[in-house]
Amino acid sequence: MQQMRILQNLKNSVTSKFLSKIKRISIGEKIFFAFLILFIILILTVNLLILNYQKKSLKNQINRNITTLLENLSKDTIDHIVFFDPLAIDEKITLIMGNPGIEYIMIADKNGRIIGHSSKKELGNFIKIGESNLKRWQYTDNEGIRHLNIPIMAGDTFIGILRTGISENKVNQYVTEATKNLKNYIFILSFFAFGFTVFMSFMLSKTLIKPLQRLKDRMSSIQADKLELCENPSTVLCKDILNCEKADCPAFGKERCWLIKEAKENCKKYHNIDCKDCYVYKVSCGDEIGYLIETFNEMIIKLKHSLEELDKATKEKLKLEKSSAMAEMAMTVAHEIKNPLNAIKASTSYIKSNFEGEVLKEFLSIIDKETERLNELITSFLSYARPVPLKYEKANVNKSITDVIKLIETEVKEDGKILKTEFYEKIPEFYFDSYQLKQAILNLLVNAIDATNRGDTISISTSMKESKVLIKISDTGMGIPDELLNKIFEPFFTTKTIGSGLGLACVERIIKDHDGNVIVNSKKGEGTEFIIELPLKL
Amino acid sequence: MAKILYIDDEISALKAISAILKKAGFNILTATTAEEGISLLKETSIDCLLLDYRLPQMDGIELLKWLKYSGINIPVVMLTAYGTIEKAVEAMKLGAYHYLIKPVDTELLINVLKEAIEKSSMLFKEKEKVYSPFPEIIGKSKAMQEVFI
Repeated sequence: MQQMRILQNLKNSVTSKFLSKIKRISIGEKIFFAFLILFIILILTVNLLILNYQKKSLKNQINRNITTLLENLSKDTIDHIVFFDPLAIDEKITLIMGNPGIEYIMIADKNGRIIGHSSKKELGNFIKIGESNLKRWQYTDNEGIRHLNIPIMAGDTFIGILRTGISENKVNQYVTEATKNLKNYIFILSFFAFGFTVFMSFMLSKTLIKPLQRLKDRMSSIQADKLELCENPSTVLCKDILNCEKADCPAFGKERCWLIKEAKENCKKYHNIDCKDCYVYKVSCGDEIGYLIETFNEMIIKLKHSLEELDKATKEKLKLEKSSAMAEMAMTVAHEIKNPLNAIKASTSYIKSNFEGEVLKEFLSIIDKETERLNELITSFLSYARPVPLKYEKANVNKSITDVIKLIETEVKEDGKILKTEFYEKIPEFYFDSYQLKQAILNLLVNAIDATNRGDTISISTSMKESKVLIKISDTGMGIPDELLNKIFEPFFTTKTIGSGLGLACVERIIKDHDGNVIVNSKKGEGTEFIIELPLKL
Repeated sequence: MAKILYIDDEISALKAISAILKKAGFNILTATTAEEGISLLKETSIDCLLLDYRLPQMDGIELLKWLKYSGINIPVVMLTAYGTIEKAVEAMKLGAYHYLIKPVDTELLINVLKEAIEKSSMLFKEKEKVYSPFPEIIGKSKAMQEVFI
């Protein structure tokens, strides 16, 4: 009992070890070995069956042959027995003895005298003729020889007997000899088939495994914080194949469009195509692994999108927090600074109008100028911290830009810089806050002036793209280094020695309030380009 | 000579601006709190009030409300460091004549004050006309006055 239990436990542990080992090997190997084992079993079974069947049928054939020959012999020898022609009998016996498996042939007359025998020594001997010899019988002796007794009858008269010994061993030996070639053939064929199977199962496992492997790689890169799509080179998109321009279709630009119900209906309606007959379906519809990959891709895209949104939201939140903290600070600081500024300004104004003197005037104007600078700084803090709501009015954007250019034109020319304008005159009047847009453009132009030197060019152009108005302000100045490009719109970020660091932050806010976009392209040493995109609100 | 009451808690601004306004020919009274201003308003007749928005305890807006409540009809020019539209609208709604942002431009201030005094006196004269459209015909009895005013 105890032993049995130990044995059972041992067996269980061996089985579980084997199973866990199988579990660990890769799917490709599993498929490969499963295929191989299946094929070997199949080949072995088929070969054995064929060989066995062939042997059996050959044996039967031989036995049938011998029986027929003996039947014929018993009939043919009637005359020779009657007319006692041992030579003719011997000739016939010799002829039959050439057949495989026949041990001996004996022919005796009705008295039992042997008148024909495969072994010549037996001729003239007598055998005992009894009742039993008158009947057809057979028996197999210990040595595996089947003795067959056939009475020879001339009509109803018994005239002799024919006795034969058929050696089963010799028959088997003959059959084995005869099927030796077949065995060789089967072996060679099996060998080739085995090679072919190895190749096929290898290829099959590879085809099955390859996409899974790609998926696995992508999953590993997720672990390394990299979100990559698992490309499927055979996939085609319906928008490319059907030249479909229906951008509002839920399947537009998506894989596995046939799974989207609305898209199915759309296709039927606009292209008169059923999904089942569609080229896109035929080419792109893969197996379950393909589906898995596409689902994975969709998941990655959604995840990427969500992460981007999250990132954006976090940034916006940070910005907002920074802004609201700044708003409060700016309000307090503005008040606390503007009050003394007020007193300073009033005092200088009083002294200016009541006292004379060149030096006094000069220094008073310095105080005045610096007071004004401080005031501007504080005002820009305040205006950024407490944005003014947009006042939409239908206006001509080119005219607004021209107004701004008038403000800086003289300065640009005096500095020896070139100002180029290129207006697209066909832009219709549309709704925007002209005052705030002017402010934004002025900020960009002031930046361009600060970033350029004598001989540089500042260009302003307008254009239209789809339903957007583009305002491009570019310069050939010093440019912005790559590492600072994503910081320039942050409040208080500045590279200038004078300035609040709020100019571009204000620009971005004003354009964002318009539901527009500001794009910046810059290369250090080559210049900077700001593109304002405004929606054409008619 | 127009009499102006200037209320501001910033002593230096109070001094400087008063000096400028005096030079410009105004008669200036000053106060550093709204309460002080109210007692001056009660004591003397003032042509125009120059009022700082932020004051200790009672602030400029509350003083404007008090003026409205008390029925004292004088032009008020507001002065503030908060340059926001909401504040301006709030002040205007409460009857302020103008709204100036600190640091104030003295020339602009003088012009605004002159304008305020001028307009208010004109308005006063027009009101006088409206109040007694037919001074000769209609009696000065209380009942008659109520009908026409």
